Amino acid sequence: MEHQVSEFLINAWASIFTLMLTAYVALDGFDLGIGILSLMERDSSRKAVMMEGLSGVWDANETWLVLLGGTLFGAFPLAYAAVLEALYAPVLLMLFALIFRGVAFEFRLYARRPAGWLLAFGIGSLLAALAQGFALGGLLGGRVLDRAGKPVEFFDWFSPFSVLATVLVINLYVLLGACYLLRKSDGGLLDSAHRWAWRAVLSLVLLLPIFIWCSTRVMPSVGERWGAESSVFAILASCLAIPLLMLMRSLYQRRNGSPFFWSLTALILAIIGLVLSHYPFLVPGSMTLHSAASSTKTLEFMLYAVGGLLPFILGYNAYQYYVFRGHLKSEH
Amino acid sequence: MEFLQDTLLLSRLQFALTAIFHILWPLLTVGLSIFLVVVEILWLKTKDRDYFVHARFWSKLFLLNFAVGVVSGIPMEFEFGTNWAPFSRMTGEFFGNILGYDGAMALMLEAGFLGIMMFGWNRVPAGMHLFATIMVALGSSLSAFWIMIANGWMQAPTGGHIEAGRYVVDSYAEALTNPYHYWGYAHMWLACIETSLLVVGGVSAWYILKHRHQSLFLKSLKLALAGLLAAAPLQILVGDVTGLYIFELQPAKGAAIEAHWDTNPAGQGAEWHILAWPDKQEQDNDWAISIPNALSLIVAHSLDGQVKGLKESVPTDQPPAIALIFYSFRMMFIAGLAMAALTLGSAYYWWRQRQLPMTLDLPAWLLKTWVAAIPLGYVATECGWIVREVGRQPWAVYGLLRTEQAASTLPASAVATSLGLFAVVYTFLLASFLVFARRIIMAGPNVDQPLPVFMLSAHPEQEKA
Repeated sequence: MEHQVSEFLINAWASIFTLMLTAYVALDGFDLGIGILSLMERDSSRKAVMMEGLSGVWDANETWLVLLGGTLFGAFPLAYAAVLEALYAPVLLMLFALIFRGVAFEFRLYARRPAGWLLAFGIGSLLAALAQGFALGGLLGGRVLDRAGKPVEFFDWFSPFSVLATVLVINLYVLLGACYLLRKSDGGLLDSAHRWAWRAVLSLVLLLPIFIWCSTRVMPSVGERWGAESSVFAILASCLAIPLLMLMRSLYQRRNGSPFFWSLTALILAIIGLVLSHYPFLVPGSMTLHSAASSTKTLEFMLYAVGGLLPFILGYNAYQYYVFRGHLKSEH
Repeated sequence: MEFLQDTLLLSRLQFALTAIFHILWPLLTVGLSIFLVVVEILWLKTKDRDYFVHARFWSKLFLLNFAVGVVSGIPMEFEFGTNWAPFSRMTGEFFGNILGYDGAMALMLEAGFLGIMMFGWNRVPAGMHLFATIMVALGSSLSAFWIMIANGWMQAPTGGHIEAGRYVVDSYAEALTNPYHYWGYAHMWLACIETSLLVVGGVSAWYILKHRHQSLFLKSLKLALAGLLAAAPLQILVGDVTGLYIFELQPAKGAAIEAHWDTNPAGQGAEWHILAWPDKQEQDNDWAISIPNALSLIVAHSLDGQVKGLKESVPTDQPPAIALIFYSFRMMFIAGLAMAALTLGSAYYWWRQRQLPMTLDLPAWLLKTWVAAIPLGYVATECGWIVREVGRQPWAVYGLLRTEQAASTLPASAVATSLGLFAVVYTFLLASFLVFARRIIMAGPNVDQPLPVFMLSAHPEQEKA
């Protein structure tokens, strides 16, 4: 009986963690994506609109990362320790990138040369996405091992596969950012967003099958799982293809509200696919959810507060987006 | 450059640097967010436009400060894993759990309403805006609460035991209701209030001295003074109780604060050193200026009460850098007294002018003292944290896990690089913040700030004016 309870709790926490991860990737994804796109936009007033349109929400988006970190630390402390220790370089790179990106929102307003902080916002966004891509690649490539007490292999996370993962993550964030801009902008910025969204979705459609194929190569267990469950894989793959096709259709028809919805749908399905590929492993190839988890008592205690608050968190975050509905404009 | 080879030392330096830097910002976030709630309520109640101008003016400084606080806080959350993986493995069950609470209950709340509070003036009704401001203030005070619970647990872990190298919680009730954590929280929360009110009061005094918007800033100076009148004396009391808990729960830290080496024999009072130079090698003070029996009186409330000395612990169990702890504590103590003195001195003038309720005519020297006192809260808090954290050593978790066993086995060059980068980046951030805060203050408040839409529609006569 005791064992069943803990299995239930572990799965509940795995679900909550997946939900938080999805919220983070979706929200900070478009946020970082807009930052990356600001590097490509030449018109400085449009650049400024892109950045200032985020002033009201960037902090809440980034706080999902803090929540993700705290949840991992409390519910799966062994994975938190192993992953962060092994990914020292990409994690620190991400932290420094987020520092410059975050303060840029405020510092730009008072600087003599605001263009420098616009650039910091863009480069910070790009480096944060890059670092997250390397971390994801290292993790999914099975390069993160539990090294409790043993010296860390410092550049182990770096591999051709992690480079591929980095490109994928940047591509995904750019797509999310462009689709968000399509919903929220007008005039010249809308045209740019439309162009970026097309490029991003086409390159993603090309990259995704390559990435999935490579995943099965670097992590044989993924290939074995889908080989055994090929019909499930086929269903999931076609489920993922539908929103991507719908996204392209709405871009073609210039229905600017829909692409963001389809990009989110595709993201959610991709994350479900990712989780199913590796379950019950939390750190692929090294640590299962079960072996990384805290005790039943802690998981239960955390569930009351963190799990119980999650609907409210989602609620007031949604409310904030509702308040700032309509086209992007400078809020200052 | 031997220390560049020592991962443990480098990780400790990095944590110290990032923590010392990060704590600067929540101080103002916690206190100023409450100040913003107060001025917004005053504005909605009295309809006095000045309070609206205050709400808008101080929120600029608030947001600038908040941005640095957020970006320097995220590294704190991840450093436990990157640099202190063995610590995370051992403590995640409780410590990580509490950080999860902090994220879900406090930081999210703060972030989720910040946008509405800052940029939502013309997008939501009056009540909703006030609610958002209150949620930001509540979120930041709650965040400070959970951080003090987590840190308090590192000082005095209760309610659990070690099992197979991991801390297991037996009773959350016991772990969370340790009174020491609550006194620690009260101490820190009051420090946030005091620091923020000194900033508000000092900046207001500066404007009054410069004859800029005098009647406007008289209102904020009065508010700051009224708040400090309650907070500064209360802080001395709370600090005293917190100190007594240290002698009970962490006797070595208490003894280090007072450079007290030998437990006083029965029937003989322990002397209190006003100043001393502790020498850990010699296990004694090189010199000391002391008051007989005073330490017994302070700690045990009797002339010959027993106070455990540092020598009760073997040297390896004693905190390092005892002089640092000793003098940091004294700096904090003097700063606390100075704050109380400034408050009481100004209150005296206020009381003398009580027949003239609309003015507060402080002499120029006193206003200048307010300006000079702006950094006082920051200094006191940093010193207090140095006492708390250096005094906890050699333990990462008091009595359970030594700091030397808590560090990740990273290449020293990697940590040296990140430490160097943190030093450069944080210096740059601090300098930029000071430059930009100065620009905000020099530019002054926008007294022609249009009222939000909800106020105009509720009071059409103001719209005409």
